[in-house]
Amino acid sequence: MNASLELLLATPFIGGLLAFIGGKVHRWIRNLIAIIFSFATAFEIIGYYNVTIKGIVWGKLFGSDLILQTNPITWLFLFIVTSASFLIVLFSIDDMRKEEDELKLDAYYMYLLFVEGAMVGIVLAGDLITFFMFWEIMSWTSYFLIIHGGKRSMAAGYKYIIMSVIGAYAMFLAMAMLYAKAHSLVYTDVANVLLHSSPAFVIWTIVLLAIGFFVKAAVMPLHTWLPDAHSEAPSPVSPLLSGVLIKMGAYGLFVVLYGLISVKLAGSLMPSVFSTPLLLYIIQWLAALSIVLATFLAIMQEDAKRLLAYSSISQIGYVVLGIATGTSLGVAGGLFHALNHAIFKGLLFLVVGAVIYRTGTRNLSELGGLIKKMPFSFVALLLGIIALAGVPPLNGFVSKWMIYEALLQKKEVFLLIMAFVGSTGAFLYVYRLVHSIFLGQLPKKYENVKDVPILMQIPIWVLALLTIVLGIMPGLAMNVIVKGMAFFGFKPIAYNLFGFPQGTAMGALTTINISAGLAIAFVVAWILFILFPKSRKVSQYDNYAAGQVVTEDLKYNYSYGFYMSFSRVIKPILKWSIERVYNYWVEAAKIFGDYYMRRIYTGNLETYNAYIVIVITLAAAFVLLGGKIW
Amino acid sequence: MVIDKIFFTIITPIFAFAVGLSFMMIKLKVSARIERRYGPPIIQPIYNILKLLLKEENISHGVIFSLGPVIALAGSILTVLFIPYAGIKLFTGSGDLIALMYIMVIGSLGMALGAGESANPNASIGISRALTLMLGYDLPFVIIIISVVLYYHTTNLADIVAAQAHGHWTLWSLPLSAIVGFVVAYGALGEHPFDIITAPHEVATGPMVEYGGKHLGFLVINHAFHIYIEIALFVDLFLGGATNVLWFYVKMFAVFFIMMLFDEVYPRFKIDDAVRFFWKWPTIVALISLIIVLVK
Amino acid sequence: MVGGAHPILLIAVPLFFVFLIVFFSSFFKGIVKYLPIIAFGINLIVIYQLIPEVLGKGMVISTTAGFKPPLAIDIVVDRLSLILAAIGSVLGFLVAIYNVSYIDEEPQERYYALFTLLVTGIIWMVVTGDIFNLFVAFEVTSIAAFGLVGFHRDQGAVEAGFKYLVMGSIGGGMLLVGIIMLYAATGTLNMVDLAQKSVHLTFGQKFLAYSMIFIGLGIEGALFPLNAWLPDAHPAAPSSVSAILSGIMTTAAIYALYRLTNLMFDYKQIYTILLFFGLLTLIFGEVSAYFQQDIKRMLAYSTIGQTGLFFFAFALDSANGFQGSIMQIINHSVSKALLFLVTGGMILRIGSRKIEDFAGLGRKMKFSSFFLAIGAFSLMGLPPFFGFWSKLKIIFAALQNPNFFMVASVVIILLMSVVEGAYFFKLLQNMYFGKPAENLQISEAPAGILISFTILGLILIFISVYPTPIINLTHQVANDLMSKSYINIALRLGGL
Repeated sequence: MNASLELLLATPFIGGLLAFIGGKVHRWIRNLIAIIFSFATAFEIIGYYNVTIKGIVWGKLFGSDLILQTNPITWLFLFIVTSASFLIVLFSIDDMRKEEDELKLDAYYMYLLFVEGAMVGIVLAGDLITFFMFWEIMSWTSYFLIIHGGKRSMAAGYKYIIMSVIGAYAMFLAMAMLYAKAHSLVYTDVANVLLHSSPAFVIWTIVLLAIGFFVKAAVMPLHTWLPDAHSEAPSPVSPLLSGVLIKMGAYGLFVVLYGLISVKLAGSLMPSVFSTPLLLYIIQWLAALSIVLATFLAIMQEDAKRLLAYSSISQIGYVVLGIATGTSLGVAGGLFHALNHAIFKGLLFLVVGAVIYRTGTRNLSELGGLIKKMPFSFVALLLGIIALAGVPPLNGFVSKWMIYEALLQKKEVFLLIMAFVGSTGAFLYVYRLVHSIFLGQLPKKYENVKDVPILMQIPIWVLALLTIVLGIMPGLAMNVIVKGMAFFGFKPIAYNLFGFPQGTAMGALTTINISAGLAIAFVVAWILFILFPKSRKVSQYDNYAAGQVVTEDLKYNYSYGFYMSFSRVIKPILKWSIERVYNYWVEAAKIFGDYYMRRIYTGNLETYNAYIVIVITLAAAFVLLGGKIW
Repeated sequence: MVIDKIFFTIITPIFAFAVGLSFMMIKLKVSARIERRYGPPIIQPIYNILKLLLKEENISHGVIFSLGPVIALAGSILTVLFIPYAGIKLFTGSGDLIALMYIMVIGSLGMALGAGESANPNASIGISRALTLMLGYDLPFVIIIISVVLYYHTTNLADIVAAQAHGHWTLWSLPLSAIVGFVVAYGALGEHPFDIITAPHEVATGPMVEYGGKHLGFLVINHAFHIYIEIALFVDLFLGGATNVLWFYVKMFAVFFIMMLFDEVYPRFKIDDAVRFFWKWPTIVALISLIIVLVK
Repeated sequence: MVGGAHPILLIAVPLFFVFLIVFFSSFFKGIVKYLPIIAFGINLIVIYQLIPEVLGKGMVISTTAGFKPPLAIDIVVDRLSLILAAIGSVLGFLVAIYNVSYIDEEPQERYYALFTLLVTGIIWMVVTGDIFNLFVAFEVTSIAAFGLVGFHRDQGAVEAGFKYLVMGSIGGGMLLVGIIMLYAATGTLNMVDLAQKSVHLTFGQKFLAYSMIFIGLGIEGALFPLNAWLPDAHPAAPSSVSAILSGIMTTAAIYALYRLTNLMFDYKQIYTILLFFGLLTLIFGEVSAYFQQDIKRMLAYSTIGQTGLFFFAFALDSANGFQGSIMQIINHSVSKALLFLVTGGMILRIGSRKIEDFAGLGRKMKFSSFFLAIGAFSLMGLPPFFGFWSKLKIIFAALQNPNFFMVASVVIILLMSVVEGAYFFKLLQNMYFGKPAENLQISEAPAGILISFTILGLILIFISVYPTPIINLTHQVANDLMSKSYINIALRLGGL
């Protein structure tokens, strides 16, 4: 058993190396290795379902044990990581085939599996060194994945890696401070030390760690890398980033908030607002702001992947909001939403990837009417957006419902309002997505577009199926989440396979009734519909145009600036950009640095010798003062 | 017991449709009287629906175009089942108020998808306006929902209704919320001055532009449901529901009557002005009401 | 005195080969370029033989000229010296291989003679147990380096060489003055003897001598603000020499500073001053590196930054700090030498040192680019590379007793690491994903170059994935430094 936890961690790394080497032989060997190893990783985690392993030592560094552990929460994230990676590898096989440079492809699969392995490592880590090590590995390997996307992805990747590094070093600082106190970075030791530390120390630790997590989770105001990186990355990488990678930030936050400290401890250290410790309350506000602002920005986008990227910022806001509530229901909702978001956002990015694969563009105003050409993709996208918008009977609804109810229980009304508005705003952008790609007028150039190859459809359909299954039977996920949360000292919440009985929240929820009711209502309405005379299918050019005749060369479609009127309403908000603030300071620092460096390294020998004289003088002065400057 | 449930499950949508239809009929007559006309016969809406449904010539722009009205109707039927009326609560226990907020959306989504496939920019603009308007009135709407929920400490609509028994209406305890609720329900119905979505002179009835025949018939039926849903929800939340069907109908009619009067006197908002309107006064008033609830 | 191997051979053999090179150059020129390989190959064997004994006993001493210390000049190899000498020999050996393909400019025999002299001087510096001998080694190194920096004989090289010459000479002079002051005060030149006798001196007496020594070694060791020659000299030299200069020469000078500070000037005030020097060196090095367009200049500034980092760690004056410092020295020497060797090969192929001209090389020179990336990663301290472990250690050591100043220092170090990441990622990105300017038709680096940096890269990968032996060894070294076991063991083994 013990050895296999290490095996689980090693599998993707070995797979990555083998895939790279295999690529030198033949590309199908490489593809096969990538598929087999990502599947093997996903397969290995089955054995850990609801298993808790307290910790096995896999190494020792500077007197601190390096530990791997697993519990049901770990399993939840392992499930997200490994299954998503497997599906993405499958999707990549066909999608990345257009890349001609085989070396790049070899590296692509290697990094893909490395990222997976790094994320497995983060999740399995039982101490902060292991966690941080894999965190950094994840950063740079995913950076190489992002910049596979072409010229524009380079700037995006650069921004991503620099911000990641900054975030990681904030974590590093916290880690070093903890090490100084605990002389060990095993979670349990750290938790012990934090229990007896001063409030200031605990708060600093949390803040620094949270900065690291928030950069990765793209919580505002540290989100600026995400829209670029997620949209410029290759199609199969975007779902990995948006669906899985940013969840690592949420996972880290969860571990820190409830593994290293506890709500009770946090509550005893600082004042509480709405029965939430202040720090958590601030985190909740950041998350809520992310929800609303990112939603508004997503509404404005003209690029399908940017739209989804902003949507990710908004949805991860729900995850963080839920996790930071500190109540069983809220945290469970946040964790469940992490799973759900991985599913539906992965699905959406894959479908958009499929559309890009066929049409070569992700510009929403260039697309349209593809429903007739790619009906399967349309249905999958439809399921994805329904789940994203949090509309029953799909999975996104259940987790959002839990978060709303948790906020209601705590009377955190302002956050709740923002969460609701973000959800309504989501209707706007998801409709934009489905309308501009699949509905409306079909441009002439896409007459011959087909649905994507089967290998790309399998991942899409697996995810689409999951949105339905988890939407109707949330108990499947709650089973894992509730058991795992008990491990972190949460009171269990009552649930059943189809929802939540009265008493868990302020109201009850039975998903099966909603979905069954909807199905019956649909059948009734449909039977009524077909009772009446049949309809005749007409072409898209047979259309009302106030007397004009619509012809093929006339673009009779509304897809650019879809929410123009809304953008006029929120113009005052859009004027602000945190990114401009960052850029301003970076530029200022560059100018300052450049100027002073030139002043010091002048290239002039006299100046240099003067420095030596200065040092001698200082030393002499020091001696004359008797070595007592301080 | 089970037979009862099945019976009411069948009868409730029919009741809802009948109520909505009756309001449509009355409205034609009342607005004619206000405009000093004689007006069409009172059963004109029934003629309209039958005519549309029985038309021999139906055109379709695609599968989703046809399914749109079906999904819309299915969503409305489902929503109706979740709204308790006159002591009858069918699905109310399976999804609370928050779930209901999102169940209500299913129908609109179907409608939007169908309209989208009609490949007519007028329809797309209509949907764009509808969604924008929705984001507009949703802000005050969620605030009053939160106020009411916090006031009664439950999200179960049936419990909220029960708590208002014996005349303890929310209208009296939270008058500000009730006013905003009325404005929001009114905005959701898309009557003047919020008829931006269909705006016949600008976007040729918006989402419905390509619809005709039985499709349009379904949409008209759906509209009847829509009237019922918005007003019934308002009655349940603020006017204490009702113990019998007649009393429920009277309350709904009272609400609808006031709405009709508003409809007759207002011109049309510009879309961004509508959003700004909802985000300004209704939101402020709703927030004040919410803070009152919180402080209590 | 020693059964297995004589540490004196570490110096004697290469010196003999310097003579051989000069000797053969007049009539058997073809062999000249292979002689340094043999010389440092022998050195490696000597080191290999020394390892068990040094690790076991903690030190190996050999004396010369038949006298007993303190009169005799003795060669003392303890664990720390062994690490440095090993790095020096490995780099010397690999660069000697590298030279075969790299140096085609005349006069070759002078290049090889100076090169061998340079590496010998460096090894000499780290194994000597005598302070005057240290000065001699220092001068040997410097003179060889002056010549090599100016080897290309274009204007830039000559100018850089001249600057280096002037500043290096000042440094040598200062070092000599410092040594004279110590000698005047104690009457001995043997380090162990000095360490014991200087206990009686007051801080004020010692401090002036120390500042002289500090300036002398600081100039060579690239400490701010004495390092101004370095950004000119390192890039101007042939890449093979840059690798030695950046990889081990500055480090050797820093080693000497460590050794003397530890043995004779072990005062809290001094360490505090050194902390500031470390931090300033780090800041100015890294920030300047960010603005460079020339890859070798960038690497040279990065060397300054790295020096600052490990000097800072040393100045923490704790076992953890020493350990972190030495780990970082190892990391820096291997990685930076690797980077210089790889870029040397690339520059040879594309004929430009501009970073923007490196665009697209990732596809043309796959091996070179791969090892460049690995070296850069290790320097940045990204896991799982060795730099990560050393940076981890340094930060942990710095925050051992967290106070405001230390936290601020760590924040600075981390910020500078971000800057470091910024320029290295810029380079890597450009190299792997940039569009080549025109249809670039270049091949992989020549065999000698390829072999040498591949071996070095493999060494780096090996110590990255299996750092335990080095962590243990450096731990011992740190303990040696803390307990000043240099003196005790030397006394026991008759080093005095």
